[in-house]
Amino acid sequence: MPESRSRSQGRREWRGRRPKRRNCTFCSEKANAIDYKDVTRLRRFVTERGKILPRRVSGNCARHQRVLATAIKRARELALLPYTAE
Amino acid sequence: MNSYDLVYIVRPDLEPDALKTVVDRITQRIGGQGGKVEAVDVWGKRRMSFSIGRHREGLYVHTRLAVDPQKVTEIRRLASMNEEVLRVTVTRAVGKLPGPAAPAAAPAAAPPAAAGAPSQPAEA
Repeated sequence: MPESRSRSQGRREWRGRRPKRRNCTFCSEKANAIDYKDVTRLRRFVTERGKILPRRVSGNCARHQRVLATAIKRARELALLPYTAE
Repeated sequence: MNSYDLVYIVRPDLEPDALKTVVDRITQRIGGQGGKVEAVDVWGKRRMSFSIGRHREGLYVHTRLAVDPQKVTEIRRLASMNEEVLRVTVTRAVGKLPGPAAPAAAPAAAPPAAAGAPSQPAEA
């Protein structure tokens, strides 16, 4: 059983790079919805090329990443954010 | 009646008067559909991330309105039926309103005593 094994091993050893502790910024402020009109906020979650940052990088939780992706796509529709870099 | 956000982009070369006419016409059409405009926020001229109809800039207008869900597609159609309007989006209301018409900017748990208060910030 994996549970008993991990207990017997105690702390798990990481091979390679140890994952950094991530915090979902939206969870920390208990946000339910993400405003697609708040461009300065959304800009932190896209790359220079206009791509949506992956969860792995941004540290968002799954739920907020989904909501955020929708918000970014809505902002793109209004030309508030780019689809691609020019 | 649900709350919706209507954001549309108007051609940037319009005079302030002409912009007001466009905004008024759309507000009127919303009223014609039984909708209630809670706030109108003109963001002004912004540079767009890409050009729409050969325009690099656009005049952004955000309207918060309350209307029956069945009327939403009609409102979207009526808002886009205008030469000056480059783009229209209608979504469920999200975020707070900076506009002065915002009734008591919904400080989280508003007391239920405010019966019939039009501010009903719907979550996602």
